[in-house]
Amino acid sequence: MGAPLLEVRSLSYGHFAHKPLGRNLSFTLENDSILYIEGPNGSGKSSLLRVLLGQRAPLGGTVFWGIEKKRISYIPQLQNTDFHLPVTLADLLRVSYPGHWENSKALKWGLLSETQLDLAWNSASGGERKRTLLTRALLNDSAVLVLDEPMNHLDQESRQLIQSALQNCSASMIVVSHDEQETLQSKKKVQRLLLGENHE
Amino acid sequence: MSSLLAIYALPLAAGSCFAVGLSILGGHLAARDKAMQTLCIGQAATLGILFGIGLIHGVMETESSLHYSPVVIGFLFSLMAYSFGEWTVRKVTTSRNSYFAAIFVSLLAATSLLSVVLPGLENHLSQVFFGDLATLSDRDSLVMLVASLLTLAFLLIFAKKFTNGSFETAIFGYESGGARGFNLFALFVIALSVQFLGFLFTASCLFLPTTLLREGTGKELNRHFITCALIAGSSAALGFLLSLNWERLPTVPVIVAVMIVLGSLSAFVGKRVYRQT
Repeated sequence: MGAPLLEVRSLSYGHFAHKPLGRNLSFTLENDSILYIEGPNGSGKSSLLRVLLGQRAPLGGTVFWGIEKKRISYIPQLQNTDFHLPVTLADLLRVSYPGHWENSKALKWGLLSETQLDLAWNSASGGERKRTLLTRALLNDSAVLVLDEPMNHLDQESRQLIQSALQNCSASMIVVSHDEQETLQSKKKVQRLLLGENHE
Repeated sequence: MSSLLAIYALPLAAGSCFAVGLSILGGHLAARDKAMQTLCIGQAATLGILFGIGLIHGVMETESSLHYSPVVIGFLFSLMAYSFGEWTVRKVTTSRNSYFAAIFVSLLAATSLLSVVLPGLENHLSQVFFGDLATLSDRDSLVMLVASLLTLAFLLIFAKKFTNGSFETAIFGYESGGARGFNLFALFVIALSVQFLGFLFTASCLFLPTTLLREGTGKELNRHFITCALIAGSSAALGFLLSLNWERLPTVPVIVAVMIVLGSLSAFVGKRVYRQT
């Protein structure tokens, strides 16, 4: 087994030092594995993600990524996410893609159709937006996908398409979920981190 | 009119070209929800430039060799305002705009105080705040023309990277590592623009076209930027020409008025022509 993709040691995090949301957390993310971060609302799942992604400093402990930051792709929950600039879904994929862009590169992942690629971001549905972000991550050869409640508020079609794309991708994943039953179908090694009960 | 045009050809070209660059930069700043923060930075640049002018005129009593040093001081002040603003809002999870508004009014008051404390700054305050293309010297116009071409080249070369950065900032709620380069570039362009073209001209070119045309250019990103650039550039030229023709009209307010009219008309027509899918 190679070096872990992510190594977290004695991590404490939260808004206030005197009242951390999580304390003394240690875990790793290995190659070809899925780490589920689970817990009820308010247990600090999204705050932990922010610390892992480097958006917020931890109160204590260390977070060490064994890969370049650009190989980590974050897919947020997408609430209230209109964009000031007018862009199509294809535009968004094109500007994030390092090489010469053709729509066929996106189509091969099967998450979006040619017609959907021509939709404006601001008029696309939540499912289409999420599928665009996932296509973006897959196109950029991400080593780790960080998914914040990936199936939340999605219709059946989007759930199936995302499930299928995740099943076929080689990236390791960190999946935040408030529902223990919401497990992705995958042959990857599964780890679970339960917040809000035993982590302090 | 033709003789006036011959005299003011360089300021006209410099103002129009810089307006084009500002309008594209403004699209990215608005997309990153940095409008209020940009006003803070612009006001800090105003304060820094006035401080620089006051220092050169009042204390050092020299002028020619230090002509461009207020830009550097303006840039440093805007950098300080940016850093202080970012530090202030680092733990804020709600809208950051009220914090930036508080910093903005503080800087505005400091600017007013400075103009009273340091002698002879009242005229400069009006010049730096409202701007006047007609008073731009040929040498400064040439500097601004070159700077505007460099700004445009930079915006074109890094167009993909900047758009991707704007999207990530807006949707993911945080700036990626590459944002530092964009922020420094924006700070310098704003400080330069405030020094030579004024705060009002800078802020108007940054935010009026992209805001007015937000829903008036369909879903094509390039069409949005090109339309913003055309509105900003043509408004700067037309407004300047109008103020030259009617001497009592102040240059920059006329440019702003023309920009509002052209932008609104373009948005009105655009909404009917480009219906988003």
